[in-house]
Amino acid sequence: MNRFTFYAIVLVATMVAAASTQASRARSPIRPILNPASEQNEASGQRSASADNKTDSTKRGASSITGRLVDDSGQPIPNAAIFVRKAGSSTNQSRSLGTDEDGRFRADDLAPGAYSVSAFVPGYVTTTEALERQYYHAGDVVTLRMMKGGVITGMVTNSAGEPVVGVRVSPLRLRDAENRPIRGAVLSGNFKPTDDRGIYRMYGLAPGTYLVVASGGGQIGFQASGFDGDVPTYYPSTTRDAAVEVAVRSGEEITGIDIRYRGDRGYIISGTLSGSLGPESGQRGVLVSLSHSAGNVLESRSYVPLRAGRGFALYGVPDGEYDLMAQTDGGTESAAGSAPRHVIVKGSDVTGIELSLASFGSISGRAVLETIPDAERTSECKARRITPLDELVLTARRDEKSSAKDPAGLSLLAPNEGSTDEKGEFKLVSLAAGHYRIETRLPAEDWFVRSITKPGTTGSKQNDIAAAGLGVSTSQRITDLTVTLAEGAAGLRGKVIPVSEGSRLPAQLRVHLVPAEQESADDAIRFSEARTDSEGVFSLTNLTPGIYYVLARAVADEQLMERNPPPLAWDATARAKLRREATAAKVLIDLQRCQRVTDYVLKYTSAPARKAVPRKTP
Amino acid sequence: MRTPYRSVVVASMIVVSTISIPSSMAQDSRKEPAGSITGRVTVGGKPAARVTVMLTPGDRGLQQTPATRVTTDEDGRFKLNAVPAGSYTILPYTPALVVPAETSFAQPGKSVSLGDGEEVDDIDFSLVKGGVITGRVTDPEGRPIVEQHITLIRIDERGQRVPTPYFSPFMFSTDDRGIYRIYGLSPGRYRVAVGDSPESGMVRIGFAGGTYARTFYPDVSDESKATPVEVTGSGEASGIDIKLGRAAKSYVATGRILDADTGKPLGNLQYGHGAVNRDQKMMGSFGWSGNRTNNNGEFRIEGLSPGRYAAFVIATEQVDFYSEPAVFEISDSDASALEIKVRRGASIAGVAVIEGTDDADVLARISKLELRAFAQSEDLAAPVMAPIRINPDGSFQVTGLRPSKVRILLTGIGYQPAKGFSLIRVEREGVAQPGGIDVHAGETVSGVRLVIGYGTCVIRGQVKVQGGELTPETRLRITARKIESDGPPAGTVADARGRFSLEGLLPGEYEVTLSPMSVTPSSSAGGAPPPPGRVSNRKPVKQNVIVVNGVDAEVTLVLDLAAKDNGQN
Repeated sequence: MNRFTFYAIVLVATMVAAASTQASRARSPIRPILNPASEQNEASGQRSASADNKTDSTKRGASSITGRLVDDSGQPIPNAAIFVRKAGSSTNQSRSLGTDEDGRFRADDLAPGAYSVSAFVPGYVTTTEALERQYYHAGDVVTLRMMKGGVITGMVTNSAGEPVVGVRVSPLRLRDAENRPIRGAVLSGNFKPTDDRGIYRMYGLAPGTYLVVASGGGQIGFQASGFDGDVPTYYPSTTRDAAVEVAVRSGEEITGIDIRYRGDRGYIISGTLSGSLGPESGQRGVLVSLSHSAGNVLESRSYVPLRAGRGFALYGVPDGEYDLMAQTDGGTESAAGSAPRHVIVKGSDVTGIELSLASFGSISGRAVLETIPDAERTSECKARRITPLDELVLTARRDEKSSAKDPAGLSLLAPNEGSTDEKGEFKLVSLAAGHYRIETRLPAEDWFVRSITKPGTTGSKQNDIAAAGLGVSTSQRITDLTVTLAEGAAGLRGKVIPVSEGSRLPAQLRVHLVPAEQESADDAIRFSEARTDSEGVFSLTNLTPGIYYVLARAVADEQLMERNPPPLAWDATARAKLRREATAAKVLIDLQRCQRVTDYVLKYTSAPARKAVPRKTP
Repeated sequence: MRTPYRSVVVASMIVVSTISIPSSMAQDSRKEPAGSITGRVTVGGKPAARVTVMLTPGDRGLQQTPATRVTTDEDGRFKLNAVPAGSYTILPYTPALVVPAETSFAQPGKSVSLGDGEEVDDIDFSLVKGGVITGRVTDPEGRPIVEQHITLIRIDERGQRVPTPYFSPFMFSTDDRGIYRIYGLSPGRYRVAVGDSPESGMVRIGFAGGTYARTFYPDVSDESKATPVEVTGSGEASGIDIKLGRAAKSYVATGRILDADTGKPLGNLQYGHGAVNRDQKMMGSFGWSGNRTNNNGEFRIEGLSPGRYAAFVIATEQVDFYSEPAVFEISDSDASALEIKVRRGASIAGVAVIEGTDDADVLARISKLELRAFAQSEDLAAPVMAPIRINPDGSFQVTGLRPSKVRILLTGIGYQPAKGFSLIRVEREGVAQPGGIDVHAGETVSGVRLVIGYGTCVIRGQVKVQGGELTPETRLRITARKIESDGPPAGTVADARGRFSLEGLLPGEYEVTLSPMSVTPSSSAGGAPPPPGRVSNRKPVKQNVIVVNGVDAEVTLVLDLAAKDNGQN
């Protein structure tokens, strides 16, 4: 170190955060610029191992989650990293553990709470993509399964057929292995630059259908690249609309995906950021995202460190229709975002766009538990374990039909998820303006949700949030939600069989419970649904005791195409329809408090003829 | 994230130079840009067609604008038209080729100071194809090890390490078959290594997978027993396979953060850790996970491989305390019961003023300037992350200082150099503090005045080389130190024609120094980065010059290569 220079040390980003869902939680203001690689698993969770087995512990006061990581043939995966992350906390209370020679891991001394468990094995992907995050509690034993991901490889050449060296090639996953579209697909940070022979090799790909893209993403690195500002070239040598899809299965290697690089300069979208911003509010930077209006797929994003100014620019943008949006980094309470701005690029740069950021809304409240008086506690109602209230996980989920869309890439940053503390209090932050439903994950099988309410404006009447959801406007802080839980939940497990021998079940079935009491006919919270597995087996838990119609129904095509469709009962029309079908089928069950029916058999009669909807070819 | 190291390495070290880079005129487009730059790119003496040639402003920094670029024609020629006057770097983007490096440490290429409407010709590049090292990394059973990082250590004829920049390792990792391929290498001898080593300049953060002990080609752990790989121009060294030993588990360090005075545990603090040298004076790379201590003040650091570390409190904003790092060693077990002690720090308060201008726009930028306070201490100290904020009225306060001699430096505006601004002196109660301010434990030092100058003076110059020719690896480093000033000197590198300019200077007398430096050729991008420049043992050429506002001072520096040198610096 001499007097002329010194080395300013710069920061290291968090691995734990990266392995979970905090794409935005940059420790270093420069990280998002330099390190787009971090965005890949956050986007789809595709690299997180799935969990397919859990058992409650009867042990009181357990503070460990243990488990095992295996491959698809059941062989242990040693030396892998496991991440155990507490729900609702940012990166705090995150753990990383290694697996031993037998694939086993153990996280000790965990504070009470709900935890997600995932694994990282380079080149591997989860065997079953968890469409919903799974949560575990102290005492649980987890088995995580991973399998070898797919490989796509090829060569990039220029117009003269010479290799293009050092251009990055990225996969853009359009659909999963079951052909369901990936909502808000993000150009993966899982890029591989071509080598000196122009060859690239992308591995560890989750099964599904991809576009393969050379350059693009608009990110300009610390070191100048000869491809900065280029319009992305899609395989084989085209723009996005004419790109050829590449399907890959687990463990499969697709070769010869050669790209003729075009190297056209794209346009620039630039402007300024305004609104509630600044280090005073704990914000370090703003992520500006550009997504295609059609398909809601991310085209480009740029990180603006606030210390460097308020101007933003996105480079290498091709002609098209986009939505532009900005959001501060971090999922904290002071996070702010802009409304989407529609931008059309046609033949020239777009300048002077002002994106005004306003702080996000939040929903907070309290969960209360109605316990069963000891006198009424039958032997059936013996709790299997003492469940602390702070293991409840709540999620504010956009009610898509009634809200503006989230441009791709931004909605993924904040999971809108929170968990209760020991007093039962919770807070869901970073909510963009829109209509939300509150989803709950109950930590105990003997709990059910009795109601989700909020005092009405007139004071005396409680609004039924479970039925209607609630609207959150920009910067609104909703503080008085009450989630009432109760002990004594019922459960219903069973199997759907064809009505006559020889006839077959539809490929995708859903079992619905519809409240049968007249006064509860439209009580959304009483509706329940579950998908059957390939054998027709289903499981409905955390049920309010009462009388129900049981109805098995083929899954509608539009729901089939959703990776994580919202419950049908959120919609009043769908509730009425379910009720009509259920009353016609007339299969009733009376579920008593704490009753667990485990061997129920439901005969499937095909539903009233449904209109055949031709499946749209994407 | 694909690899634990990527985040660590990418972010762990950015080299920031305090040399105030001369302000460029690149953005100044008051006049019609009429300048042009032409040149030719050859590879192995033959014209290189369809090569991208990039023009970037000399002080590109973190601006992140794509470079202006052209493509060479069939004869390898290029022409950049309509270039405004300013300082630029011109660089062929050819990651697989080796380019003579002629500018700053990290950025190869040729620099050109272009005058208004000037036409500069013959900015030529003769490139050679870089070498390749490729091989496969496996475990003892021959299974591929995926996403392991390869470290290349360049050595000289005597087997001594040639220092390489911090960021060299991150580009190279094995794929799903365990195969790696590193290209664009300068001819020379390299040691190839895989696996963890505290001296690798990396720390793992919050990632507890197994770790592999550092292993050199061919499967040895002792660096001195490593077989160097010879890379010749355009040669490919293949089959450089490494078989690693069994993965070892990584370790955990736990402890508490305590108030040093009361012994009370401190919750909700962020903590980090870094690699510590044997002498415990410098921390190499460091990082933090974002985890905070719980109500019992407990912290937990995971994913540690054997080595020596320090844990400390991380504060990204100003706080009123500092921490005494807990130093610990990991060999074959977890470390526990560590204690990081937190002490209330001293503070410095006062006012910052800008001298030498009454331009309201310039004066208004005072609250944008970033200063940093460095506690000059012999002890191992936690890194200080938070800059000093200056209020719009010029007042400022630095808190959480450890007792020491504290030096205040002006580090920039945003992520850019603060063009024209320099910290002239620091006064305490009207007395200049050239070596720094003595701060005692818990003390509140007030009445400090930071005098910041704003200058618009320019020194222009030309280096004349006599008695021989410079090798392509030689760069001419120019610095200008203001006589009787405490601030750091302004610096630049003479361009391909030996021209230079230093801008944004305050009026006064300067000592201008020319120091020839040599660098090793390297790939332009994507491939292996260049090793840093080495000061040649040639005696620097010095000349004094007086600069005044409104007139560019002209200097001619004569470098006589025939002159006998006795300098041994």
